[in-house]
Amino acid sequence: MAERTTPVAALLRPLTQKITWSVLAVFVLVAAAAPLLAPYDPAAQDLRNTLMPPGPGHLLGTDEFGRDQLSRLFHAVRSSLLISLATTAAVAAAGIPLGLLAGYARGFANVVIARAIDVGLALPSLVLALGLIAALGAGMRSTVIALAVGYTPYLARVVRGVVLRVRQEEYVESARVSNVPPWRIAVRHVVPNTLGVTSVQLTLIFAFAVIGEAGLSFVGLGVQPPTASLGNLLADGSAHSLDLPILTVAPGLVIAVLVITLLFAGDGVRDALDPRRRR
Amino acid sequence: MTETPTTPMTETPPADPLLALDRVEIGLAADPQVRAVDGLDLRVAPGEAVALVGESGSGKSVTAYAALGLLAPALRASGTLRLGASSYDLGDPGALRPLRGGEISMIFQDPGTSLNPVMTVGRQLEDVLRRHGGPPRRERWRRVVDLLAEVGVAAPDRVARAYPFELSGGMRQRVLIAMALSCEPRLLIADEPTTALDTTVQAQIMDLLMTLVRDRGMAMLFISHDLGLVAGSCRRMYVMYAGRVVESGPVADVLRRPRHPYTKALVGCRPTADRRLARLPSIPGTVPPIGSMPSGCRFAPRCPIAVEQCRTADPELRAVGGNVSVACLRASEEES
Amino acid sequence: MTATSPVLRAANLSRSFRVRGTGQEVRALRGVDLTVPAGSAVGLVGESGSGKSTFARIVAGLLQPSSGELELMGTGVAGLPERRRRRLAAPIQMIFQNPRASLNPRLPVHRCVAEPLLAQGVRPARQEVLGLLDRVGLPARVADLHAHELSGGQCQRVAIARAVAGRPALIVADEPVSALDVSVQALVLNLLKDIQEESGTSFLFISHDLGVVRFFCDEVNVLYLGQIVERGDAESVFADPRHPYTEALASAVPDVSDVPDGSGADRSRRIVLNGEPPRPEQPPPGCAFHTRCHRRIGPICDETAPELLPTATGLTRCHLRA
Repeated sequence: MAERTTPVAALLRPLTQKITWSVLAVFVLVAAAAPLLAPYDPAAQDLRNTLMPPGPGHLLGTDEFGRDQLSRLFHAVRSSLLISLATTAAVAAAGIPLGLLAGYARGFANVVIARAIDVGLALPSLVLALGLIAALGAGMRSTVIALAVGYTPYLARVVRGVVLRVRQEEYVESARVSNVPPWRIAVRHVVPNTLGVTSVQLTLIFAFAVIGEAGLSFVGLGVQPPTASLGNLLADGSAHSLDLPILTVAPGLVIAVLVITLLFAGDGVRDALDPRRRR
Repeated sequence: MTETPTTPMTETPPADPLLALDRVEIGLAADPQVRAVDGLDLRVAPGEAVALVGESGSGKSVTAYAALGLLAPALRASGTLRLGASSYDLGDPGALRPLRGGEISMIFQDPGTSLNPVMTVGRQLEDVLRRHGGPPRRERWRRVVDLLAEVGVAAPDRVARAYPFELSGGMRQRVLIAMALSCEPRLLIADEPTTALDTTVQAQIMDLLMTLVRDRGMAMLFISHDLGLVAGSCRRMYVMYAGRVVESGPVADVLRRPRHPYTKALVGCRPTADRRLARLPSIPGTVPPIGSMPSGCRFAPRCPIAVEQCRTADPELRAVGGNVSVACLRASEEES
Repeated sequence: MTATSPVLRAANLSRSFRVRGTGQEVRALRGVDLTVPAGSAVGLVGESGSGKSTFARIVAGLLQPSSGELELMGTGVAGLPERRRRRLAAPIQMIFQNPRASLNPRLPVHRCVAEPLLAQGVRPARQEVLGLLDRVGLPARVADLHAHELSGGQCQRVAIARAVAGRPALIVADEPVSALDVSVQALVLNLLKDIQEESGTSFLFISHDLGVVRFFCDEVNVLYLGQIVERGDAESVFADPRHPYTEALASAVPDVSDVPDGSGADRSRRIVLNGEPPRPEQPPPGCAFHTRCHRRIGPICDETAPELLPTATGLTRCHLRA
């Protein structure tokens, strides 16, 4: 009821969702077609035209190596989205089964999994990422692994909580009384009813991964130059944030818009997956 | 066990009421044509216990919320509320605020969620007393203990120091009643106050409420779905169906000889411990959802005695003698 | 399984729970004997903390008893491993209090109804599901709706259709109508009665509402703090209660005939108990009811726990009647 109270919210919800998904579609398009859309090779240096302000030749100017900033931004969106998508997929692949197992296991196994999740949550994810990257060597693959390991316990814990709640529901008990085999109860009743919460968490994790990649790359542990990523662009531009602010403002703005859009998308996904709200 | 109430309890709609609700309409703010309550008039005399009866969706609870200016933001009320000599516009919830916890108090169905779980009940009672300019600080605790004793708490000192979770449902409802009494209201609105309680505890709480009405001369608007409870406690009653009052009058007359087919069905369909039937009388169909009310009489689609005219003409509430009013075209024809 | 063996027989059934944190033990059931003969409806009446839902859940296989015997269709099941028990307990179905919560919000009605059949390895034809819906008075179009699109009464009908689908020998109904409006209660109770009479299904019917139990049941058991305090056929228990608790309970049920007639004797038949219901984790010594009893006869009530003994019409656990 609360979600439907004010008419403003009722009116805005579909509109915000339209905007949200349009913006996301633009991001996906840019990422997919970056090589076609980019006017220049993002790695091509032009040492005669370094640190150019935005102009007709270079819409967003050039960086200190004379590389076209717009082309680099397109490719940065591509690599950042790819990393975030891979991270989210890895977190889903590991976190959902782990959470289901933790919610279902009884006795000793339950204690072991639950404590393992808690330990994972207790480790500071940045320190964890630093350690992993030190062991694996920096690069795209290591960034994905470091981020996924950090976020998996978080998702697992949320899924476990939902499973524990859904298992108490009367329709699950009713199925147990009817002798529905436990695996079928899990597949039919428990898992579908965890989808809403899980999908919202996954969009959140996607957003966190965008920020996480930017952070790791900014300190030089993520994507390695010359590959463009949103974090790399921020790092490269930061030296010139006073004389040519567009070099940091543009990727910064892209990160902000992307993250906000993902958060809105999460609300939409939840509503779409909830039969009670689907109208 | 209990004596007949000695306070004057009129069985006619009082000429000089404590509370009068006139032309109450409650609808969606977004679409005022969709109404949860449609043209309700209600009177409560000083010291009188009046019942507002109906099933879910009848509009009985929103009426109470509107009277206190507590409607959800999606709903809008119109109509007037008179309390003694003052008159208020129900469309202006802000104007009703001073009444709450002053002249009018309310108790709710679920005594579990109405108390703050991290404060002792004594502290919460003290807060209420302070907000309403009760006794000075040094005497406040004394007053808290007195109030708890007054609502039948056996060890008021101990209970005042307890947290809500340490108390049973019945005890929590007593605490809430004490809270409602702390500002000496002239009217208590009780919204299904015993529905969440066990049968024997319900009897105890009803006994307490009736004692308070009798001894304090406090009026009570008792909202319930349970005709049995109403029978044992109130003098007059209003029966609501789908946002309208369909029958009103003295409880004894309405329950002994219900005139409206809906009231008749409600009285008949309760299984009781006194008689055993092969099948229970029942009402087919369901309450129409607000927003798609049938034309004519709203009960007509479920009514066993509806005629063609019932589906077109909207029956007015009219007096049929014995202070009973009925909104049914066929009520008089049914008399035998 | 023989033709004469009762559908359900519980002997000296007990169940304790450990309270989280405090380590205190709550004895929710304290040695309950109860039998449901084939084809009959047995009522279990009690207030919160009486253990009636614990008993229902043990019978339905959702909980294990701490001790005691439980026979279903003449076969002992207490202590059996879950899988073995499942096979034996197949002919039991349960109806819950909250009609909406007992249907999976993501499944259409026809799949909820078909569930017990699928569990038995039978994939019902749509026509069969529609037939079940028709039996509980629901139109065919309901089959493709979800729980949130139905009223509370309709949800409970769907739950009944599901319970009936597997042709159970016993239906455990835990407060099946208390969440429904009064007029809807009557319809659902009539429906349950139809089903019981037509199919001969036995019922274990749990309720706090004596009126409902009297309408539906042949035999009534009154539970107080985990023990049966009175048993008898539905007629005599309410007409002539032998235990003071039953007496108080029966008198406390609000009734339309309570209308004051102005004689001053209005509510004289009502017994209002004193004091608070005891906490199940600290049951009083002696007779469990002595702290609230209006007929306490003396120190014997505080010190000695009474036995469940026969009376002219049933059984009662009270020193007064011994």
